[in-house]
Amino acid sequence: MSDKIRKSEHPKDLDDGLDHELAGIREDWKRLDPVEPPELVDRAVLNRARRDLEPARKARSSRWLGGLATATVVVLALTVMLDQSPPGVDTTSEPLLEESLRKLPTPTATPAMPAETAELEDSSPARLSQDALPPASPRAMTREVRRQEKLGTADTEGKTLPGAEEWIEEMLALKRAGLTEQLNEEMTAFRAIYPEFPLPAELAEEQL
Amino acid sequence: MRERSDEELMAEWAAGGLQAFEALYARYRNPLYRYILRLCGNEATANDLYQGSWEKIIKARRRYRPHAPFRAWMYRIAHNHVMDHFRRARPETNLPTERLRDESAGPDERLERSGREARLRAAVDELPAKQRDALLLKLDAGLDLATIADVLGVNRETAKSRIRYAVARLKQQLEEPAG
Repeated sequence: MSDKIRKSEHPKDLDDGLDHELAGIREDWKRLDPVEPPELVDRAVLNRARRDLEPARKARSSRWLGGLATATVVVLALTVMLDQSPPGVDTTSEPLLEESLRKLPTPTATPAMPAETAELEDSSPARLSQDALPPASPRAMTREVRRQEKLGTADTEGKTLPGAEEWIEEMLALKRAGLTEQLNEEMTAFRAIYPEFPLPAELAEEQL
Repeated sequence: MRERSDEELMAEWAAGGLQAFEALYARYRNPLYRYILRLCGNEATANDLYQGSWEKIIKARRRYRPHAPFRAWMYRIAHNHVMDHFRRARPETNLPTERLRDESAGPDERLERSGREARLRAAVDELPAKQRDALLLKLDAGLDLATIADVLGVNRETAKSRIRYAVARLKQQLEEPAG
């Protein structure tokens, strides 16, 4: 708006005697038939104004929904991450086992999977959370293999499992430590994977 | 409770308040319609131009600057819209120089119009378009001289002389015996 309009707010600018000249005419003018816009036009204008404000209202509500959606996604991601974490190994009850496991070579082979799946896995929050955990023990790996077997995704080739000899070493260590219950559990898992693998005499007794 | 100023309502509307627009609309609905109807002299055209003016006002709401008087801003948009319409329709003139007389009026109505008010209306209708425009902004919109000048896009003295000529002409016509 130009300066002229701002200047018009100054009282001395208002009239220059025109109001006096117009006084009689103004009175007659006011008495003329009142005219007003048709109701349909009123409605059209008000609807137009309402429509003009719609995008802003929608944007406000979608901002609110966006925040809610983000919070929901974060909560769901956390839930999935916690759910996928491997069960913790009770290291206090298995000090010898842990020690023997540390001596074992880390399994290098990973389950074969299509490249796309591998990429997805690598970028998923669950994958990231697993990366942050200590390396899985043979027991944990065994559980995972059994889980994959149930899902039908396990690679039953020996290359994806802890080596049978390594596993036997582990079981021997358990036996020497007197952890019978865990030994039995490992034995069952071992036989599920290697049903025909010959066991040393020391462990063959346990199997009976 | 204090009545909110046009500028306060305008700011609220610009921020998305529909009720503020409704209040402004209620306030200016009649005067703006009267201005446009008496400026163009035809009800159907006036309806279109009135609705079009508000549409332009609605579109321009984000460009409104809070320190500018709302009434002047609104009338300028409406005035420009009417002028554009007549420039498009009749490039050689800005407005019909003389309103069409209402030939549909019956004898009783014509008789009634012989009164002073009817003569005033007829006299205003017959004013040259530019004088009528300036006078209507004074009589219907109640704008001051500087604002009228700004709305019309002329200087203040030109606006004043147009109104003075219009008033003189009206007085002359109203003093003539009715015939």
